[in-house]
Amino acid sequence: MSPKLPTSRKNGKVNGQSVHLSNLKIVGCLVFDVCSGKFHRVSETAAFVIDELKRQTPVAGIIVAYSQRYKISQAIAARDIELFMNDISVMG
Amino acid sequence: MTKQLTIAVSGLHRGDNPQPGPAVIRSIHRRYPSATIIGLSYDMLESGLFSKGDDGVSAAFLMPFPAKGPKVLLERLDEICEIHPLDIIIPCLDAEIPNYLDLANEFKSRRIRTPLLTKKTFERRSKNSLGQLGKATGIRVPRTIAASNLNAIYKACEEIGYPLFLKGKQCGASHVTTAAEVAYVFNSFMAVWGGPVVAQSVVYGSDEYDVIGLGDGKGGLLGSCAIRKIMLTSNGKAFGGIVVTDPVLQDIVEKVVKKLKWWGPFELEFVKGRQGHELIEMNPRFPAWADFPSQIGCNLPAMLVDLMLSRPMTPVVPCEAGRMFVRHCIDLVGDISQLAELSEGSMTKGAKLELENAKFELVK
Repeated sequence: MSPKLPTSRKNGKVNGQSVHLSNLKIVGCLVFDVCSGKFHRVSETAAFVIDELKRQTPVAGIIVAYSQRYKISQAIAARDIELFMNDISVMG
Repeated sequence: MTKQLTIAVSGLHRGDNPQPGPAVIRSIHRRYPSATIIGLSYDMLESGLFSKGDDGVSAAFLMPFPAKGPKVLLERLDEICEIHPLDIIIPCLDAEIPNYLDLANEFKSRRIRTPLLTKKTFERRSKNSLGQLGKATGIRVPRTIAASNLNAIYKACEEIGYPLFLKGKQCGASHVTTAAEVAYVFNSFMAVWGGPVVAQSVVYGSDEYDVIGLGDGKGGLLGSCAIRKIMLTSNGKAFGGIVVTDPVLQDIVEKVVKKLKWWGPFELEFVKGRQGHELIEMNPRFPAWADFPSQIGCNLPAMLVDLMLSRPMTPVVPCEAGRMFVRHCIDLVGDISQLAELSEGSMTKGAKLELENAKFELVK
């Protein structure tokens, strides 16, 4: 069974400042914040998760999509996504 | 047939501290390809004088330094007008603008369009008025104290605390970390620009933003483009930038323009610290990167020409976030004959043609 995750995340923090998902533009493996003008190189899997979050896909749905896309179990997918979301929450 | 415009532009040097002139010329040529551009230059080696591209000039004239005052400026411009009657003058350097504002009535009587900014508005955006501007608009600005003598500047620095910036009246900023550096920097700025020198607290933030814009003089903003600086020169000038669309920043820009009823071009400089954007400077002219927005549909120099001629203005296209520029330096070819002609006070088409002919002979 998947670990319990928040059902939606609308924003996180980068360098101590709020980043709204709606401001993020994913261009290949770059994530560009149209508001702050900052851009970050991210892995393909991170870009996938951010893209799903931008679409407001519930986390349970992201886990399913992620596990299917990368052919891994849902438990591993859930752990990866949780770690990633924790990482972006505490960046800076 | 529409009369061909003759527009004089200054600030032609594109060195490590590039001036806006060539960017303004190139933008104007995008809309008015047949406009005759007259370069107003303070030095024979200003790089823009040697450009044969869209940012080049048809003729150039050496100008008296702004410190000589408005009367001397007018005499020189009258001489230039005898050879090339000017329709418009776009001064692109901060230090020049007060003289042009002083001469507004003279230019009006000569039917030459120049900046319609008032002296009062010009002063309200000056570095030593930044605190009042911040209060009047509710915009965060760094602590700023103006001082006209050495004792006053030491006191100002103590009040603000080190490190801080000392800034010249018109141009220049120096990062000062101890009291030992104050006298040298203060005296340097006083010698070049006169007083006051401004002491300004440091805004701690990793991101710098610049906004170029054009005000209609009634409180409205005709167009603007905001960038985050992504590359800086050693003296903090933008060498690369990326367009941002931040509603908070846009709101600040609109507040400033509305409060000042700003007429004409401007550049607002911000640092984003923990408490948001802080306005560190407002420049009363286009920045050196003015041609970047022009290339993506926001041609503010061409719009300024329309504004000055009271022509209908084509609305500018909002700049799309993520469009970016990187500055690129190239080597321009000149000839000693150009310097020889300039040393006499001007460079007309003759010198350029001579040079072109010489080049042609060489190729043959």
